[in-house]
Amino acid sequence: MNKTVIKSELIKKEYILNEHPSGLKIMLYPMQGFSSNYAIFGTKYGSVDNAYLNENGEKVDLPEGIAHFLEHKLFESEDGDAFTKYAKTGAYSNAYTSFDRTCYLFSCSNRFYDNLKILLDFVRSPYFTEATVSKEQGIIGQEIRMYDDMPNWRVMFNMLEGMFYNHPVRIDIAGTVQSIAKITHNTLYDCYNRFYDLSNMFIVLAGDFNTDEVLDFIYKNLKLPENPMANTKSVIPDEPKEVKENFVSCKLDVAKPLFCLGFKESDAAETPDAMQLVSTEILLKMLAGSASPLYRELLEKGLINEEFSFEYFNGRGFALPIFEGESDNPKEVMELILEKIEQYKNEAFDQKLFEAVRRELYGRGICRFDTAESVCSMLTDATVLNYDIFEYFECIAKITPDDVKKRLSLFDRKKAVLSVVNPV
Amino acid sequence: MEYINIANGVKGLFIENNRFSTTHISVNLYLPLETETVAVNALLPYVLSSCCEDYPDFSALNLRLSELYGTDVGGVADKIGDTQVLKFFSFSVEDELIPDAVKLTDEACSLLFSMIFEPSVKNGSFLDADVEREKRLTLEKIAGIINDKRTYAISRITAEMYKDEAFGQLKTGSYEAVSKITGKDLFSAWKEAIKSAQIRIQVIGKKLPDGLFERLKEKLEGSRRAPLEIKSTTPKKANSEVCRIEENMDVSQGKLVMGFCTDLVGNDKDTAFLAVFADLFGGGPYSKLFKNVREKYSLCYYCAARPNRTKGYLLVDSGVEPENAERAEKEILNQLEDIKNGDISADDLAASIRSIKDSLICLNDSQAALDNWYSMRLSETPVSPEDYISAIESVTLKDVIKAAKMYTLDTVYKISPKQRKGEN
Repeated sequence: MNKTVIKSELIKKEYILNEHPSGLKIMLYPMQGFSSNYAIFGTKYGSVDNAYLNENGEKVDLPEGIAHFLEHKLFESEDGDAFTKYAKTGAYSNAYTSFDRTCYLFSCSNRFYDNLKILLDFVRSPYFTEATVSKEQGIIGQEIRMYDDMPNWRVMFNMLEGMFYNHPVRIDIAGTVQSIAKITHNTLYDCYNRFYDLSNMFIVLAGDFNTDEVLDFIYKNLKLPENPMANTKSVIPDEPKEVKENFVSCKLDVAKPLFCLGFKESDAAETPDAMQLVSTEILLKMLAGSASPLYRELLEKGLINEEFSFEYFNGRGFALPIFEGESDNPKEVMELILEKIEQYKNEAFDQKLFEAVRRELYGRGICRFDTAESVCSMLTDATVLNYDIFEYFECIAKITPDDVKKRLSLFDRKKAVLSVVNPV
Repeated sequence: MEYINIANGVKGLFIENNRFSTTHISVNLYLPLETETVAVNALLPYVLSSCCEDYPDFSALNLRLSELYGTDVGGVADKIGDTQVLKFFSFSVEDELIPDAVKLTDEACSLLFSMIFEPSVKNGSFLDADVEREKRLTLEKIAGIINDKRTYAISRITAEMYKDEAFGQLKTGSYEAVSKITGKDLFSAWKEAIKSAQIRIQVIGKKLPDGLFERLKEKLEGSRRAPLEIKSTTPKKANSEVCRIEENMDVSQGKLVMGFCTDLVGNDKDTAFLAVFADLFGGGPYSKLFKNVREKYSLCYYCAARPNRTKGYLLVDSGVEPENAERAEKEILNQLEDIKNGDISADDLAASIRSIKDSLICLNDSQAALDNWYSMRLSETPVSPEDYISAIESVTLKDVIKAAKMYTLDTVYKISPKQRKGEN
């Protein structure tokens, strides 16, 4: 059993990496003295994986929302659903589907191996029938309608729809009532076999355990497929560099307009590297963080409130900085952001603010090793996006103002999409 | 756990925990919850934590916090039964984990105390700019509750159930009351709070910062302390006839919230059986509402029961298709009847106890959760999660039946769709 210790001298942390012969990646982060263990069994398959090339080289389109549907259905095995099994151990369990991954997780304070066994079993035991699929269509239909009523969700997806012509990140993760009606138990089996191949999957565990014992347990209990199918690559359509629309809006029952402003990063690599993440995060904080002159101006002019936030939103095949919030005048917010960017491009960099933000990122980053859940989430991000979490900290330590300045080119008015949800 | 009497009405609680990279400190001020003062008191933590005498400017304060490796200080207000709590907190990374020789925890403590005791004031009044800024943010927060229909429905039913008492107020106080607050009002409220609150300082981390409790004592000298006793909470008698409220809104999914009252409020050990009942009724996936109302009959996308230990009520909240609302309501009541009739399996009871126990053990892995656990408990010697576990473990089927019989339906609140959502 190969076991590599991945270590950071800088932040004095380490984890164990093991590559199972099937290609499954296993990561273990021991946390001595902690009461709870956290586990994720995931696959690099999400809502953007909406088409693939079959063995004859023909493109097969999949119904929108199928990865999320599959996640719901995998919870049910022939011998009962996973919730019922976890009820016998007391663990908390859940699952989620995002744009580029599907994850099954549990957290527990005891019977760790029983819980791990349940996780290893049900994720490897697909069981779909016509009847269970049809029932789920009703339940997911209700979930879709619930999201339709959520202004925060709508403002974001409207922005993505405005930004992308073809990339499936523009599609709602759960699909639509119409698209999920096309899902059958056969399409689910097909997707499971193609995208839940172990070479596309990973297990992340954090907690107080013996790493040798855990690895041994996984090797003994992991069900291997009888006829392994080489992982199918999904087909992501070509995406123009331009945005589809610069402005989109709709109306919902909200108190004041909600906005989401995104900037399309057209030259983004398949996945962002650690330096790209760190430099963009620092730039965003310098630009609009709570210590920035822009934040002060927006707040004093009454243009934003506590709902204001920003992030470098990224995943497999897409990356974009976004700003979100509530404002009576979203267009003015956008203009002030663009104005500040021009100023940053032309004026000397604020060294003091740069240094403060760099330290903040470092300090807050270290705190993320304090809970098993956030450790697993960091390791999952790094695995799906193919970077090393410790490199992220190395980048924070060595980054220069010039690295950050380079990222200013991201913010181009022509690549901006402003989405607004207005009150009815 | 160390529990120290610092001064009259001032307690210190130190929870030694070596797991974390940060020291977490909170100073909690407990005051009677009164309709006249809820808004002005609730605004205090927000104004106080936005600036202080040393950093009268919020941008300068935020810059300093970033420089201190993302140290955070802040304030919030909450209701605990008929008591109002104003919480001020700080967390900071352990000094040995950062590359510079900065005393982060010392700095954080100074900022925390300075925030509470040395505000930026002039001539017996807080500064207009600070007061007006925080008022606007609070008012927009209140107006924005409607954006999330689930939260909105819960806040509406609580206001309705407790319309005749202070508990019916929002945590922030009403829109009207917040609008009227002046800098002078806030100054008087601040003086009064420091004088009359029961105070508890809680520290969770590797060690108790040197002289912390003594420093708090010094800060309080000269404020002519006359701490008010914490009054016990009065539960509400259920309406003799169920009160029904329905609102029509621009949504696709409806909401149904049912409020039940019990006359039992009290410390954890006395009410543990109510918690197990609520969990079996509508908590975990083994609960009656999840298994039947959601899974078996597909009447709701979510349907959960949340108990409020401190005021003695329970809300069942659900997202429901409009055509199913009536059936869902009947079915929720049927499930309650089933529990009253003893229709609970020993397996489900065991599952519930295991799950509650598991989540209580996991509290020890989160500083914020531990801090919250203790600060929400008003008794002189608050019960620890470990002690509560033994109370939970002793709950029997008979206790659960008894609990079910103690709840009476008081109010039903519904949101129904007006029309199909219009987009432009």
